[in-house]
Amino acid sequence: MMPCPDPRFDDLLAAYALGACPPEEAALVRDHLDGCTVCAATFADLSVAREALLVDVPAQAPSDALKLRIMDGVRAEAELFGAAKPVRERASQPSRFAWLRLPTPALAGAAALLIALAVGISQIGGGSGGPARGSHTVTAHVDAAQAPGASAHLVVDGTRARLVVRGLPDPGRGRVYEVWLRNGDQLPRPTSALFSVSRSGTGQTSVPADVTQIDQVLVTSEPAGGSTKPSRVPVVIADV
Amino acid sequence: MSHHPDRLSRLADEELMTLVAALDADAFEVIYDRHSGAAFALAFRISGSRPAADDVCQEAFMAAWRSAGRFDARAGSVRGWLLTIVHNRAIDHLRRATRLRDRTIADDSAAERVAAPDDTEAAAIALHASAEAAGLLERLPDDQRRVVELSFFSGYSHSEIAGLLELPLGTVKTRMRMGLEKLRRHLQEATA
Repeated sequence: MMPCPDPRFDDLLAAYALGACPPEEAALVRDHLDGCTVCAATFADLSVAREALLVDVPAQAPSDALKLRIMDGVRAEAELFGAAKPVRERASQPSRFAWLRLPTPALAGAAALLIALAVGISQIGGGSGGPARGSHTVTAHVDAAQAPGASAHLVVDGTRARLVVRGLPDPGRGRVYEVWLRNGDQLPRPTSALFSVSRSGTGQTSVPADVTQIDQVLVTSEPAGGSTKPSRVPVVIADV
Repeated sequence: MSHHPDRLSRLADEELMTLVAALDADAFEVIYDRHSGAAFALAFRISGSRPAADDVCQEAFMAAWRSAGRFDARAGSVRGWLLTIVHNRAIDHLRRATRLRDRTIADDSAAERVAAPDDTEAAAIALHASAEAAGLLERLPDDQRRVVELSFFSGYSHSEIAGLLELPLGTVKTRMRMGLEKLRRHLQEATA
């Protein structure tokens, strides 16, 4: 195999594999690896050594308490996303609120959110109890722990809907708000709807779906570019 | 401790990850049981204390749980993926704990480690870590072992190591390359 024509990478690949490159240099190496099969092969070889170093450490056994803590968190989150179901289904399954006992602040916030959902949702302009006709507005529930004082609503027009938020905090550096869709017991499905908010916390985005075919619209804060699975508890939940 | 069904225990890591991505906590427990020992040992090696290693592992495993959907089996093993997350979190934790320049790494890719220690406390910690070299690293000459340890287990960048050891930057990079190549050759010979 011909050597790489760019001699800068002779020594940089090892530094990159060891994590010793500053960010700009690391980006340079990553870009180069995408297009240079010679260096990609060399890097794959070096990565074998790197992976061996990951386990080249004296044995230390974790405690049982650590496993309990981690699995408590995992099961609580699994339950949380299982619990974010339409109101009509949750009403017959109160056991889904078992995770409310957990002390984690984020879960406590989610607990408040889901309690609010259990109380019910209000529809403005669409009448109460009757089927929605034409354009109407659905008030969404906002997690007060994550976004105190914020509000959100869906403007539904036939099969289309627009989510409007007010007072929502900035999602954070390198993060965006992502819209999710949910039906029944299914996992939330990611959408292409990513949005941020103005300095005053105002923002809006179209819901990229036929809203007559979904049960819920959720919003979470996710890393820029969005996620394929929610990484945080929802800050907004709207029952459609 | 394990309560997961036998059927899960028989699945390969990659199959379990598919379940984990669908929020199967039992599948994640099997993953945890398989790899938590190596993960904790790595976290302890870098952070230097059990409480810190506990924090690192909790953070890393929760990150793995939340990002399971991004795991790509074509890019490597579950074990390598998990340990890379632990490694990166441990280096971040070490920097915070030793009040190094705060440049938290959010990316759990293989590299992108940047450290900034220029104080004697950080240097002392790194040299202490060097004294605890484990089996594979002992295969290396001292000069190569030192730069590999300072980067991989203590989070120093190549230029910082050059300053710490008073060596030209090119020498540090070359020692890193020679060290990794030697380890690679040793692994090849061991498995031949």
